[in-house]
Amino acid sequence: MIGGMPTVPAVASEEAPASPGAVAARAARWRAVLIPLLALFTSLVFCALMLLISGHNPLTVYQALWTGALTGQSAFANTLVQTTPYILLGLAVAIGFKGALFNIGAEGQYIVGAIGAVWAGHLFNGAPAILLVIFALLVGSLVGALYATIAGVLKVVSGAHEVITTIMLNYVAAFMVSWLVDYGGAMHGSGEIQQSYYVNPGAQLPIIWPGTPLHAGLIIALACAAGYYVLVWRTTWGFQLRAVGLNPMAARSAGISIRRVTIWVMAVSGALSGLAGAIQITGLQHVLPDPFGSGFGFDAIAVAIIGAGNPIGIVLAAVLLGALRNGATTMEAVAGISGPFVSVIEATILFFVAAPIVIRWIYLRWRRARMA
Amino acid sequence: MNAILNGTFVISVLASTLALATPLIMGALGGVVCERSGVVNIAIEGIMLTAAFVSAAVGIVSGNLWLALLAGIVAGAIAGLFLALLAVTLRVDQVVAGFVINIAAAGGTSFVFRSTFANASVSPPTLAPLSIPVLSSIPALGPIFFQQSLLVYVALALVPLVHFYLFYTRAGLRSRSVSENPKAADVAGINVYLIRYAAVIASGAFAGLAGAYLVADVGSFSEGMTNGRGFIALAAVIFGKWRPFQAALGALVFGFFDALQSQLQVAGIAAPVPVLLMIPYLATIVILAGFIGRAIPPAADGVPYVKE
Repeated sequence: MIGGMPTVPAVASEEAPASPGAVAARAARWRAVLIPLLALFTSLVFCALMLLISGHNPLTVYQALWTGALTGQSAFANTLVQTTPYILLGLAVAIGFKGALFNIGAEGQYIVGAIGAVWAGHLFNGAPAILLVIFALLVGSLVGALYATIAGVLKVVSGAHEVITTIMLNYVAAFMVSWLVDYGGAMHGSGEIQQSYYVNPGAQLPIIWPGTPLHAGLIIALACAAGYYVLVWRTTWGFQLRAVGLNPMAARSAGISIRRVTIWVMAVSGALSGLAGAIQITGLQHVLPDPFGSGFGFDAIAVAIIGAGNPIGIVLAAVLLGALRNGATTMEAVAGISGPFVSVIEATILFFVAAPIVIRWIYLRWRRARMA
Repeated sequence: MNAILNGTFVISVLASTLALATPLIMGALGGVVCERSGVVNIAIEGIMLTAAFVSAAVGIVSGNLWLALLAGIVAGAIAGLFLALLAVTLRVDQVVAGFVINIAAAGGTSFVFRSTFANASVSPPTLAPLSIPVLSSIPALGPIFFQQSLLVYVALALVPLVHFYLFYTRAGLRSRSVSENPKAADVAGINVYLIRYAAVIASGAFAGLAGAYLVADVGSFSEGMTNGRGFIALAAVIFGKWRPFQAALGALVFGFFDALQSQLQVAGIAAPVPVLLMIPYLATIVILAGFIGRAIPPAADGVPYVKE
């Protein structure tokens, strides 16, 4: 089942075959930018129609979404706070795609990363802050990496498909949170609230925009996006990874061990997801609530696909999704549209990005109609 | 522990095994039908959820159980049609296409649910257990097999039907040939696209029935109520190596572990509830990894077909 490599609609690369000249390359680059933008625009129009049909004023809804996401210092900072984990999770899924693995377990790895970070962050009270934060982030990444490695090893050893195993591990991770932090759990805080103990003040990421919740996690996430570029396109490891992703047979003939690459991709992917969870704890929440991170796995896939597996694209897609999620609260309060509507917008964008053929069809017709 | 493992406990676990396996059997049959035409259906989860929602809505408005079930099936088939459009005609990567549906279903059902009948005082109609005369009064076997709801029997009856269709009819043979070598099938005059459309739509209808069953079983809709069952059904497809009987067996095994954890909760075992809740998911992983050996999918499964 579930074919080999999910051919992410990498708009940039799919134009490759007949492009000998620089003109074609430039056209491909243009399309790589243009198609996601048209997809975004088209899906907003499409969702506006849905809102109209259901008796809402789309302008009011979009305005509320815009206000909640971007207007003013606090809204903008909160969007960036929401963006931070999406960047890392999008990178995590994308690096899996590069190696022909579909890691749907970003959510579970994010959750266990958060568990690890809360645990690590509550130890050693009084140690130097910088060491504490780094320790918590490292533990979170490591736990995420190990958790993802389970799926990698199972795939290599027994052929168990990572799509199924990682989804199952997501559910297990969610129940693990309940088990650990609910009343009576080993990591339960105090009182009746279903959450863990707090991390030490020293194990908290510094705020980089005073007066807002924006923390240094954003910088780490952006650094990881740069690191992702270097790792995938500028190292031998990345070359092997892409070789396995593009053509496993050829890669094997060239002496690359697919098994080793598979396990390592899952580990790196899990480390990125775990880091995202650890950053969410040390930078924003400082405590692990139950439930935690539900829905982040699907969002991570959307970010990776909309971002076409490319670091800049992923960062932009993460900002887009962060803005949508952040604006949802205002949209709900002002326009009376319940929050999950942004998931509908998300799915529509994903649809148009994944089926660029539809976008081309719509706009070529439109252009032809105008010329006629 | 011994106090729990008595006859009543075993019977109640086995009796709810069938009930809990039913949506998994339906979903798995849908998966088998779909993949035996060469299309991967990772959207079973989302289709199930959409159908559950539609079925609940129709059930609340009409108050008619049969209409609600039918609505679930139709909604599933329409979602299947959409998947076919994406995967067969537009040739979107099939896993990605499935995820478009899963995300849209998760968000869409919650969104519409909250703005419509989230606070409704009426509930959708439920499906009462059907006691089969005489047989249902047999000790032990009665409660396990013969006091189930109608749809449990339907699901069990569908298994041989799907098997018969796939392995003993012309259409089934054509579908399998399309899943193995669409080009050869095309050359032989088989309409690959038609077969794939039909299979994906049918698969949606199966998943839709599963969603409608979930609602009719508990008499309510809740957000994300499928809870990964669509994915577990997919695991059953692999477990069953794309064969209906074996896939149904896989569904029963997963249903058993689900029943086990819920009956352990009822029996008040001294283990934390979240740990019990992990059991079916962990069992899925262990079974998938440990007991089936390498599963080889149909050769052209997941590969879009381009007619020349």
